[in-house]
Amino acid sequence: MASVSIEEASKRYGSSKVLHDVSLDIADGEFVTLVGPSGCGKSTLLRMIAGLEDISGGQIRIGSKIVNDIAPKERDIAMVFQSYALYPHMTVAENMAFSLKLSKISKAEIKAKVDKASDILGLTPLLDRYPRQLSGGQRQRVAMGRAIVRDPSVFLFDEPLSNLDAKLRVAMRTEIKALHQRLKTTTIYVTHDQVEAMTMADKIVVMRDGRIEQAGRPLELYDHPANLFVAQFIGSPSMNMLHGTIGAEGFATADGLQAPLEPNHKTLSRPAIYGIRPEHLAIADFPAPDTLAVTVDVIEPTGAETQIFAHFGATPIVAVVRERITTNPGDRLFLRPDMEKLHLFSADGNSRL
Amino acid sequence: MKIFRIACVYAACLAVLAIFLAPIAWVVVISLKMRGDIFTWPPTFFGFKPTMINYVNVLSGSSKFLLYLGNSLIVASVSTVVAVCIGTLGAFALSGRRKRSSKLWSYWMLSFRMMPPVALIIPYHFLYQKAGMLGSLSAIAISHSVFSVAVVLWMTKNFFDEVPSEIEEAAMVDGASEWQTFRYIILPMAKAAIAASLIFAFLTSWNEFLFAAILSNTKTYTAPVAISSFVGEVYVSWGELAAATIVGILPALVVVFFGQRYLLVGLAPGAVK
Repeated sequence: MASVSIEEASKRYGSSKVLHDVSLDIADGEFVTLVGPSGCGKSTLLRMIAGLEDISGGQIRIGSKIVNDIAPKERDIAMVFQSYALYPHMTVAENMAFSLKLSKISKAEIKAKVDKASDILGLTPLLDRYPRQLSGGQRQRVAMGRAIVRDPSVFLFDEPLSNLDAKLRVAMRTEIKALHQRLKTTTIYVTHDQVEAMTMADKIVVMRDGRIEQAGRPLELYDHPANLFVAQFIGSPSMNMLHGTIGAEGFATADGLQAPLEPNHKTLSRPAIYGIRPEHLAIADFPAPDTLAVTVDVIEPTGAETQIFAHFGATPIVAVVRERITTNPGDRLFLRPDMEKLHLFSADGNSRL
Repeated sequence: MKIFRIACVYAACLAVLAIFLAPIAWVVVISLKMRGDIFTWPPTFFGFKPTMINYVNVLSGSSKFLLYLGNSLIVASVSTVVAVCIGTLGAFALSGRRKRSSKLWSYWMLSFRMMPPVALIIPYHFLYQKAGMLGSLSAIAISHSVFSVAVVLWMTKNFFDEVPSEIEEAAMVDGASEWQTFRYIILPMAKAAIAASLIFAFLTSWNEFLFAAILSNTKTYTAPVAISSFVGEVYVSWGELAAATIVGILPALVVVFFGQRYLLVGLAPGAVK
């Protein structure tokens, strides 16, 4: 096990810079997810840690060793790829044993390690099968088994669940998390799915356009997003955003409606963005100064909750409530924001007020 | 209507087959005829007394044809092995993660096949004469390898390019060097392509006449050159010529028969998943 330290790492392809002086510390045994939209640089950063991409600037340490110019096989890392990357001409057992054979350890030791890893992942009945004879979930477990047998200092996962169906993704998510709790190996996990990031990580790193927007514990990012991008990226459905101005009366939206504010917020007096998560809106029985009068568009009952899609003036609003309601499209509804969960951002969205 | 269409397709296939097989069939018939029967008019496919005398004459010790067949086997085998070894290594060097710098090299390799072979006859003759290799089997094998390397490289490169880069990267992370990745991962995955290029290189060498004729002597004739020697200045031994032709193409037929599915794979790049 080892810590990973990324210091001012940058990456260029020709004249195009795709990673801008990224710095990040990952503690020994931590499970960190790199999350962000496509093209944000998360996979590039992971591949630089693995040694599959050159580092244009800065340095990366694994443990105390700077690994910039060290080959992947010397970095004591193991990687699980998005497409599994299993060797199609080898059986499951041979896939898992390949790296051990290259290390020239004894056959008995290889068998013991393969048996142990396959036991952990439930692969023992599949050891003689070829990848083409396995389901997607089984292949993913073989890819993980191939990583585990090496007993590396760091596990790297590059969107390993992207090719699986939704139900299998949920099951594998739990397996990966359980594996981490068992092995306690430092893990860096890349995903574009914020639900995966929230449920699995000790620390989430949100990236955009080659930069880190915010890094911290999942609930920290959920409760205190540093800017508009993080606020909208974390949480599903996304946070509701109202553009307007903070004044003495409250928050005046661009189309002249009023939204409630805490007294201490009213002193800011500036253009701003008002953010409230759908799950922090409660249905009020009557209109009041601390409610938003919305017009219902669509109601989506999911069984455990009800999603309300509405409009506040011209701005779309989503609310998620526990109760079941009977409301029709076009009806007026009053939503009370939880003032303790209110978020205010600068008008350009770059910072939290 | 459907039966009529199928019948038409089969009839067309039979017609094409007949056009391609007719010369072979005619050579077989000649090889089984006595000299007198060969020149009868009109020519006959049937209605003659078949004889094996032509085959006996060709395969007997005095004719040395078996020696020349052996020479062909040696030259074809050696040139195939050399071409496949160099070609697959070259293809690996030009594919995958190394692909970025490979375009120029790839087209340069292919240019070997664009050149008419006859342009090289005189320079090759001088080269091998200077090297003291004129008349040796190795000279013929080397010249065959040069042309086969380019084709082997292109055929296998197309397959290597189809191998997902993540598999090579997984091997790198697992601790494999470039050579180990090539030996343990890429080569086994490209078995079909390598088999196809192997068959192609073997057949190209087996059937090659020009360089074999220029670079060999009476001891190192290959089968095609030996077959042509039945055509004398005054007299043509048609029966022995036909028998030698049939004996000469048999090994190639056997190779194609057993390797035909690999040939099809090799002619369809990207078929391997």
